[in-house]
Amino acid sequence: MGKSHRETLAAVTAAVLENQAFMFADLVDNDAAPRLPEDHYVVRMTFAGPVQGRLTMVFPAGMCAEVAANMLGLDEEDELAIAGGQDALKELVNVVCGRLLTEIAGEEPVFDLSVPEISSMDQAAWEGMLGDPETAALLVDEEPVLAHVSCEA
Amino acid sequence: MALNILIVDDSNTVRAVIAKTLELTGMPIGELYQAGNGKEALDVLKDNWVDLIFSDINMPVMGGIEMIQQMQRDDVLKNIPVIVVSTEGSATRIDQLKEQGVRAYIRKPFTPELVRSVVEDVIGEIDGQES
Repeated sequence: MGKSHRETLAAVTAAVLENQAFMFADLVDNDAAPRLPEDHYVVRMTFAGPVQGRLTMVFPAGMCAEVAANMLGLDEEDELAIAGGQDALKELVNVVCGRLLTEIAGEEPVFDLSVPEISSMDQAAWEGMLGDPETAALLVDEEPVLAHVSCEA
Repeated sequence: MALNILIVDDSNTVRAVIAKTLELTGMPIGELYQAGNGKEALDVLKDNWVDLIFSDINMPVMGGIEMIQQMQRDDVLKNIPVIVVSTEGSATRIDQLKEQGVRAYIRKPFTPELVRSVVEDVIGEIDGQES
């Protein structure tokens, strides 16, 4: 079994949320994560290089506009923040992926990153993700955010 | 002198963040142009004078590298400095980009202070070349 990246992923995610969106995240036990928010977004992207794999993050839909607003210095009600919510989540995941790969593989290797894609999941998939010891569950303003990276050499 | 700047990124949000960051640097900004990929950027450059370009690498239709390669084949466009803004942190990739003609590299996330410092370095290099 490969090395666990859960703690690193949690730390990178928390740092990117703080630096890019001025939001604070706490790593919690996966058992303590709330149920899947009814409205949510699953953002996935892949990477290929010396290590290849996939990063998956799940966000409550309600975080979308807040992330965009904070990144752009706007009010959450601003039309640009509302329209740019999904785009902002994709960008956040993109930055997490880039930072994570540097933490995992160092500064020399070159990686090809895919464009992040948005989808959704059902409660069973959410529980399956929470049951995976590689998943990092974070609380951001009491809302659950999940992050998972799968790597293969 | 106010700088005319072109921001090239497929994400509206990233373009808006870069525009906002440029505003916060306090640098004199003239016209601010935006493009969603390299092809759109080359179209902007056909009709407008631009002093500096901020560009992503991975974009649909035409990426940042292909855009820079096309600019290098044009006697006027090859002189416009390109600063790449990306999530990637590979030193190898940064060296490759500089070999392609990229003047500087900014890794996300970035601050207005970092952006200003990089722009001043790049513009300083240009002034140094001209003098």
